Amino acid sequence: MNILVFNCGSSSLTYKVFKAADVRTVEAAVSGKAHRVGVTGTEPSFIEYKIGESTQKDIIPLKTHKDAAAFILKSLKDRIDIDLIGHRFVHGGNYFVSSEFINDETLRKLQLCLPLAPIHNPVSLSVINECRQTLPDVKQYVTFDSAFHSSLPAVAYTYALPASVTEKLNYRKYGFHGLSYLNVLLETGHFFKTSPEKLKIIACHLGTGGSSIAAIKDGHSIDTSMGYSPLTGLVMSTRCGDIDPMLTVYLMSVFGYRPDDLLDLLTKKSGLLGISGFSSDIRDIIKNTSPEDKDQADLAFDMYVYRIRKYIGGYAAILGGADVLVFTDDIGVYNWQVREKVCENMDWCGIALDSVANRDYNGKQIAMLSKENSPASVLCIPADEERVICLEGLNLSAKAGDKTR
Amino acid sequence: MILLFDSDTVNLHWCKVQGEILTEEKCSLRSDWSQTVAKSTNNFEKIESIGYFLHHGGEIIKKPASFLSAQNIKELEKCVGFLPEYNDITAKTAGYYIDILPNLSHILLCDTAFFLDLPAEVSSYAVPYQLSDKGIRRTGRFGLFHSWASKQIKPLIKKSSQRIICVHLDEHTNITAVKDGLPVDSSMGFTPTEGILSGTSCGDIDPTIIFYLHSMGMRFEQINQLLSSQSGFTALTGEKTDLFEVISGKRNVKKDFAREIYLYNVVKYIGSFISMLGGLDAIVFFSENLEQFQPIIGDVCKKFEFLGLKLQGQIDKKQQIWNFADKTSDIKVFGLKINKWRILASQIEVLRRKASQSGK
Repeated sequence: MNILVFNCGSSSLTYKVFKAADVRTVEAAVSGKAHRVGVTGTEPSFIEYKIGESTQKDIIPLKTHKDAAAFILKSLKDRIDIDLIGHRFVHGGNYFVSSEFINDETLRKLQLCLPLAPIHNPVSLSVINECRQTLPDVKQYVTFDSAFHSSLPAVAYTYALPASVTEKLNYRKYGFHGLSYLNVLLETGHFFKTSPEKLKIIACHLGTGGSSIAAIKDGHSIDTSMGYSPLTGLVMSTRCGDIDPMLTVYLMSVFGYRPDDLLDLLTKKSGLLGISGFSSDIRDIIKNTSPEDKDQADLAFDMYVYRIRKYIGGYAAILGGADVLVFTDDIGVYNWQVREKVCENMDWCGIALDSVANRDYNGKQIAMLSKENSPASVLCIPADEERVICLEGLNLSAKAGDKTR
Repeated sequence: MILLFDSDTVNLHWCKVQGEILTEEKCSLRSDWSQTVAKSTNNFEKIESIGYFLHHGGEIIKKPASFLSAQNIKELEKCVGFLPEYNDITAKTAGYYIDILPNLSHILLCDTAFFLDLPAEVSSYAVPYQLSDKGIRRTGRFGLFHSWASKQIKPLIKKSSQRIICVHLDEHTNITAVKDGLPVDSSMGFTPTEGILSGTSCGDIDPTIIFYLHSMGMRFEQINQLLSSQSGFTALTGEKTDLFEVISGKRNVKKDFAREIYLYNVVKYIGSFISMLGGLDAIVFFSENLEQFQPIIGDVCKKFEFLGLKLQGQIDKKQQIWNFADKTSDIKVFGLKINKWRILASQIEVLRRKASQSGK
């Protein structure tokens, strides 16, 4: 069957149509991306279409993600039949613990999730609605970044605040990048030709925007670095990651920050950008040659690595040792410097990186980067969120005993 | 005789230390404390040194123990703003006694100075660097005690390079990583709230909640109160609960859960600090009530069996330093019973000895 997958970024909309027979034979037949959605500026917005080797680019004004979805659906109409449409939703809160087919009840619950991720969730919902309007007969399903972490034990997800507060706000650790971790779990099992439930995995999802780490045991997430929101945990491109909660109160009450401004500062002006003062991109920070920026650039890199190492240690402890350390997503896959520094002096928990293999790795496919005698393996796994969304659709269909298969 | 001062937000505490004998007293900060202290010390008869415990020295007080005089008291006064509810009385008492007893030696004992040596990547928060320049950093707490504890066990680790994790088991548990005498990390951050939860404070949380609470109409002072006085074990159990009740009090489901969360967080911090140290030679647990913590120490240690930590069956509690680990253990585990005043007094003695040796 042909599965169309939509994946909303903050100013982009990625789509792929997979020809899927079963979980190991999934191939993207058509793919592309709408760029600069809702962005005003000198450059125009445009949509790419890739079919086989050919690429086409249409320059069109795209005010919203809904507009982009409408154009994409229109252009696909004559090219390929769609049997199923899958979507990614960032935050499913307590309402969703796994992927679900979309019906009236799901739509009602999705509405309730909107405030949980006020930037991402409404955009995804608008794309879902566009698909329902344009292709009312095609079944749709939704996947969640938070669902993979619904297995967290209470000791990991509970914040020690009064029940009056936590219950009112459903305030607990949710965690994100779940689709990526699901991909890690499946690919790791496949790579070692074993059931992934047998492996204790520490997975680092290091993205150009957000980053997180998860501890995975018995095939389930048991802890992760992001919390109620994606603000906490690792040092990210512009997000501060872990911070003394009282510090935020202090900055407002003593330094006089307005709450909106402070949240904006911690979300959009902190992290690598805040520390370095010149870039939110770890690649710029590593490449920096300007002597006046050197101290801040070095500090930014050291803090980025330090926070990852700290989490790896904490998760090794709660897992009772790790079998596999995984790096995934853009920074995790394309940045040997980060991997090298993170794995330095990690022999205490059995991690020995093969520095040659690490530097030579091209990021094309899954690869083992640890030394042969390393007790714990180090894996690099290119992220393919859309593919995971597609697999979720296949699983849902199989479970439902769908006849279209 | 040494006279030591400390305070909480309500009372001034002091202790006279003469050899092995400690005499502890306190009075309300609102009362005429100078009168009460004068009476309790027989007008400072036999007092040679006075030590003042400073809870927060910012980046101004750079040494854990230093002599104070009329010449440098200004430095101390500059620190009041860092933690007014504690530092104000420290500055007041020091100023007062330097003035009336100029011939005694006055010593400032700073609880945060140890952590000024944290590596920059640890002491900094990932916020715009302009804020770091304004003193926003991981301050740490109980530096005098962690540094003292790591020194006590130093001779017992027969290695030239020493990677130690110090766990201060107190109502507000805090953990530091120490390498070759220098701090590498601390669970407490800009304030003591960051890190491990306590009887009433929340420990690590996602700070976005603070913005929600504020938008729901809570004032900063109320949020402060909520996070530091109504959270932690008290919030988890739904009734006023301190750490001692959680680890050794009467059991119920909620207390068991609180104990589990506590254990989980302590283990997670120790693990993350091993990572920062690149391995571990010893853990030292220290407490005023070490006996009570024995079961939880055992539970923490069991989580590190995967690193070759082995507990021994019987602990010789007559020893000054309890030895929890088996001879064959790859990681040593020690327990120290502490007394706050004795540790402070020992810092003063060390400083005075050094000064007399250098002919000061």
